[in-house]
Amino acid sequence: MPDDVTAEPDDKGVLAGEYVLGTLDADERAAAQNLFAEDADFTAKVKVWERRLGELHLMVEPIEPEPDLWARIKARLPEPAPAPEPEPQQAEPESQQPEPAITLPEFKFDFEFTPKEERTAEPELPSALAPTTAPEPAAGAAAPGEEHVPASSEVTEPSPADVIALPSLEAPPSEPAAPKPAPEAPDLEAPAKPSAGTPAPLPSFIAPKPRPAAATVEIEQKVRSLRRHLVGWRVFAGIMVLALLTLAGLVAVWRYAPERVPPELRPVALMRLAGISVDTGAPLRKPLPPESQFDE
Amino acid sequence: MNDTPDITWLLAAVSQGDQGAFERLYAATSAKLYGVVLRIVRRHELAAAVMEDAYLQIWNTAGDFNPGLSSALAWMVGLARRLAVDVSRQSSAAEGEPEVVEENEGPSAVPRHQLSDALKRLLTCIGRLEPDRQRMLLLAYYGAFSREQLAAKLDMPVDLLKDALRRSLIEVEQCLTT
Repeated sequence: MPDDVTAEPDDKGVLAGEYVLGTLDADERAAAQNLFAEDADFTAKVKVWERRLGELHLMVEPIEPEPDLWARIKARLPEPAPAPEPEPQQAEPESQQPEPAITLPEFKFDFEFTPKEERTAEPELPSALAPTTAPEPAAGAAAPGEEHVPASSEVTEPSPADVIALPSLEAPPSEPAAPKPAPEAPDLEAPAKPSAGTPAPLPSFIAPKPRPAAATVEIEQKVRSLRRHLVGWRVFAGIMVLALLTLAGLVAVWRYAPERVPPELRPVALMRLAGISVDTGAPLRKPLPPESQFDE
Repeated sequence: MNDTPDITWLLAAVSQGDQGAFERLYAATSAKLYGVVLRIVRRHELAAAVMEDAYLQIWNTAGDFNPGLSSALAWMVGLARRLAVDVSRQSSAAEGEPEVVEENEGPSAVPRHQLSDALKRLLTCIGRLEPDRQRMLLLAYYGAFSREQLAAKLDMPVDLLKDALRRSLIEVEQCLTT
């Protein structure tokens, strides 16, 4: 069986899949295990399948094992020597402070990085809007914007994976960082972003066990994996803020510079209602027959 | 799902040799792993033996876990499952205490909001297979039956089953990678 298996590359993937599923018989499985030990390509395929199918465990009902099982496992552990570094998670925030706290403090749902985002957003707006967007936030549009911003941070809360880790670890370092002005943020964030989806920094998780200096290494790793989480949130928060700013900008332009709005973006009925005169009403109605009925 | 970050942290601590974390990790995950393992080996004595080996292997290789690739629990389940299938193949002919898992073959239903994104994707892809093949694949995963056992359960010739299995895996792989 393994003979034809190695012939076609596709079959190797299938063999890996069947190995993970567990459908191979004893002989085939033994052969696959040899491949697993020797053939890095096959090993990688097995890992991929384990990862793919691994989530199916969510649908398996838990069953409590016998109570003495833990004692038997514990008896087989090497020796309780490496205990002296009992570094529970509560200790981490403190021990992080001596470290150069890198990007962590800047996060904390701060919106100071939004100016940068704003700039990138402008190309998306109709060109007529671009010059007017800057002054608006000072005007009435600022209020709705600020009201909504906290909302966007609330929106980010529900997803479980990050929230639990974030608050406790972040609270201490962010306070001293708060007065720090925005200018620093863009520098640090720009390089951080590209790594948003890539698992590149993750291998840091892999660490040699018995190293004495493990404490700092561990902290470093945790900081890195935390930062990976943060990048995702930062991107999300940035997108939400962008959407808000765009909306606020549009509303403000409607209000203060209606003539600069391209015809497609004008809520004619609304503007009339608000007492804003619409000069170019006539050409506007032609492309929008349904609205014209309501206007007259 | 809520416990995912905890398990990840615990696993990280275990990779540093923290036995206290290991005990907490065991408390948090042993029921899930036992459920998976028992479904496959079908005997408590075997399942307990597999659990011992699995947790020792977790202790020894926790540093290999890469949180960017899978959830911590999925990694642990994958490891335990591999050992369980090994045992179930070796012991398939052997005598022992009677099997404790009846043929309640399907997975338990999970509320939709508890499904991880990865699982949703996988189920979507499996859902595109013909119904018979969906059943075959899930049965294969949860019970880790050999092809012969699967063929008997699904009442089809082994050759056909082998081909169907192969095609299903390829289709799911294509679906997941596009």
